[in-house]
Amino acid sequence: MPDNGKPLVLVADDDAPTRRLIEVTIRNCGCDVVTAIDGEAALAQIRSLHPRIAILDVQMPRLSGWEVAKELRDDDAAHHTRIIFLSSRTQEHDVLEGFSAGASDYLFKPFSPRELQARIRSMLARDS
Amino acid sequence: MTAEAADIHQLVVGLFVVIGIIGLEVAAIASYKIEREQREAIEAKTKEAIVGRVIEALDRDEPLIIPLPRGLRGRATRETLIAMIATIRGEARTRLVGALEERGYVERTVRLLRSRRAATRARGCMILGGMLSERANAPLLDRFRNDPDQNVRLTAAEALAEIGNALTSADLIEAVKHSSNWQRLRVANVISRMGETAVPALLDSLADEDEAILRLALDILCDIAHVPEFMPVLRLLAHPSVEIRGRAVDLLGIAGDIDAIDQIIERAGDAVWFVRVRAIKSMERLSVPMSDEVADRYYARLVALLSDEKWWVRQRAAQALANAGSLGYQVLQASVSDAAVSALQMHDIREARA
Repeated sequence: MPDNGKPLVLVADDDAPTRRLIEVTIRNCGCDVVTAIDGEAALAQIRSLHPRIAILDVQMPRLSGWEVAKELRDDDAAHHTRIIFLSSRTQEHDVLEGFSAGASDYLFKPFSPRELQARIRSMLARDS
Repeated sequence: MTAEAADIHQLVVGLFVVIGIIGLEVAAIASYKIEREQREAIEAKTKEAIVGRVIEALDRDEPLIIPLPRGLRGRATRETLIAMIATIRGEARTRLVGALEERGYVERTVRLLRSRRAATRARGCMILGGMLSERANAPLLDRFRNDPDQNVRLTAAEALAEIGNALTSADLIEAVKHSSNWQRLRVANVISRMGETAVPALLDSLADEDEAILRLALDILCDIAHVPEFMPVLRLLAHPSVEIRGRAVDLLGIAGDIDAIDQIIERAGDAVWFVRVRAIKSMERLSVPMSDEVADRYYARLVALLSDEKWWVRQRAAQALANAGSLGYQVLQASVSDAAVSALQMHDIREARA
């Protein structure tokens, strides 16, 4: 990825319109974005590109968002990547599962694009 | 021409006709496949363009200019916008719904509700549900109340539930009375999604004589898990139907009415074993009461059930004791029943893992 000073964010969701929606939302807050269509691709991209933030859907083919997060938890090279789950699974036990897998944040679908941007900016500012 | 030559001639002609027909079929399939691929490509391109354009406009607070194409592009545009409405919320969603209304998408879809074909009316209801526009409330209510087709009425109810506020749970409970089992499930889903606002009408329906209504209302209340007034449920603990008693005792445990613990303990002595199991589960959910007198009755009932004739009841009682604090655990250890032994083992395993 070209080093233009913009923070890199990964968006992983198997639903194309949702993925595109999140991608454009994140680009519009000044980030570079790479996308993945399933958990395996997301994991590979996180390991090779080291994005600052990974926005993961929970229910994805091949590897779920939780499984991706658990894989990364034990990976020293990827520990700088913050994970945000963006999911339609909204029960308390889902949220707890997400945080126990290593998420920094857990957002519900349907989501507010402005709220997502605000959270991304806040996370990036905190890490700087 | 000899008879033999005529036969061969006929055979050859027949063969050519068959080959010709097969050829036409193959050409038709190939043409359909190409057409489908082209259609999918147009749809994908339209969707991509719409998402980008809408998000840019929303983000920059610019006016949302939604195109109004016809045919394939029109359908792809509408589907993309509905998918976006389902995915986002807040101001962005309000603006998208507003844009659909301004561009006439809602009115165009409402026209589908006047179709002579029930399938088209049902499809119209479904699409309007996805658009989330309150302008669709009146026509959808009309379909819910007056459409001759049951599926259209139910789809209208589902759409109204998506949009919110226009439908009362009393309307829906009334609709359940004239539905088949599968249709009742659909209505139950709609009522369940209304959440606590549906509870008063559901509690009222617990006075109904129709067992199917009682079963449904109790199931939905278990789903919503909020019961501000327990008397209607307590009355059902003495219902002649085993299913109603079982569901009622379930609900008392799920909704967390500790004041009903005595009635639940009593129901743990029901003549029917699976009502006893459900009562024990509710006792476990509510946990050991604070009052010593009631706690004594709680433990005494569970200990008595360790010798129940049914293994499931013994097993459930043993589990409840294992999870009832140190006293419950000690009581269990003092017991020699098979269910007690397995419950103790499970308890120890869970403690070791924690």
